[in-house]
Amino acid sequence: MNCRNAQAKLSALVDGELPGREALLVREHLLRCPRCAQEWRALRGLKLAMGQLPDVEPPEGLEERLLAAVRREKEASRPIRLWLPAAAAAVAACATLALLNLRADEPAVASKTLPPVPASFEVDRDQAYVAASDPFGPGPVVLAAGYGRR
Amino acid sequence: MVAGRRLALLSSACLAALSAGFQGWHGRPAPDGLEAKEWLLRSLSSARAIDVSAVVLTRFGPREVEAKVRIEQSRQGLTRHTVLEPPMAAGSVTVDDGQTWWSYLPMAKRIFVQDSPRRHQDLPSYQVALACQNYELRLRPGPPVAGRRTLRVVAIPRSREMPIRDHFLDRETAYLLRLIVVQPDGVRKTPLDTLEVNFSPRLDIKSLRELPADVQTVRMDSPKRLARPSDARRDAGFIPIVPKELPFGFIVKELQLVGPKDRRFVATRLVDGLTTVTVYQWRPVPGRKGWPYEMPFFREAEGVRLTLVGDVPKGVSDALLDAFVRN
Repeated sequence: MNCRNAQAKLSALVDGELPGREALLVREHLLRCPRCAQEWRALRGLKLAMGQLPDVEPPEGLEERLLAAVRREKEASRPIRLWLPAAAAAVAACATLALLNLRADEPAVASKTLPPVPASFEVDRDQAYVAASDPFGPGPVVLAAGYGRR
Repeated sequence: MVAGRRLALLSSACLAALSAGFQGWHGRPAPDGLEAKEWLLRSLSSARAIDVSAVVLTRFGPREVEAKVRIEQSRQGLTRHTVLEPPMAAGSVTVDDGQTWWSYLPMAKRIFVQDSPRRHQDLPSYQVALACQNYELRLRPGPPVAGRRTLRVVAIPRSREMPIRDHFLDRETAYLLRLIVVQPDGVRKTPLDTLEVNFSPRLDIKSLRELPADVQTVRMDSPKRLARPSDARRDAGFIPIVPKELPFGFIVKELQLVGPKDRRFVATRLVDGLTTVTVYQWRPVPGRKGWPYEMPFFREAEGVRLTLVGDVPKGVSDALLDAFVRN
């Protein structure tokens, strides 16, 4: 998978919409390509931040006031002031970036000590270690990706 | 049981004969005259010093979990394993440069760092000498594996309780492409099978080392070699059992202190040249949780609990543990 293909699928990957094989290929590409990985982190952060924004109830009568304002603008035949929505978008973008920067400053895992993990995982980890020194062993011993998770 | 084993061997031999028949090569030594022992030695000593890119299927553990793994190896001795399947482990990466071993587990968002396990590897000549003591090695032609011509080094154990190990080596590089294990009851397992392989890949050394930068790195203690069993007393609180004699030609390769600082215990690594088995030993402490205290144990002697982990038949496992208890 090249960068172009991977980047086209990043959004779907973040949303969990990619089928298993494709998701694996993209994830594999991300492990190799720091640029795409950076893009993926930014996109994931953005979607996370957007998802955490609270739902805001519009004030009562907003719709009527907006319609009335549009009518007045039309009557006056003046161009709509485009800078207003643009400014609003810029403020939102700044807020999102600030949020992302705050998140980037946080350590990936805050805990300093590892919690106890099931004995079977520890055995698997030790066996993975042993297998890596055994050229005639069964090859790489695979650990569950969640090993050591809090 | 023995009959089943003979039958399995016979069927294996028949397959080989069929395959050899087509090649007009009836079990004679390989054209370049190398014997089975030398092929095994070559596989052990030089197969790590070549460029390889491969996708393999491995089956491991008592539950025979199947995993698809991409292996990338540079001739400088750098290896990178990326798990492709199953989903529960996909995305995990291990990188080993012979000195250090990095293990990245994405869901845990951690990279575990340890000394390279290859530091504990036996000398190839020693390993092959031990294998020759415990197995009769036979060289056979093999079928193509992942599009490559192979040779089989069939290791027939001198103890009937041990499984036959059939190594399919690449005809040019001696790289292990497939491993078939035939249990004494005739059950065949394929712990390693290569799906695709390329011995002249374009490898980017820098990218082979690459791991995510935004995850926590955790330095783990590596298993520490114990010069004397009594050295375990200070850290693990007991002196491990070392059997005077082991059955099936196994020897104690090493005693290692393993586990986190507050829960040290002992791993006894046993080898027969081709198989590695670990006997974990620990002293029970009431109320303690985690590894090793919650591990099921199979024997208890001198206040020490013993568990064996390794791909050997139950009869072999029992006999090995009994040797510890008999001590």
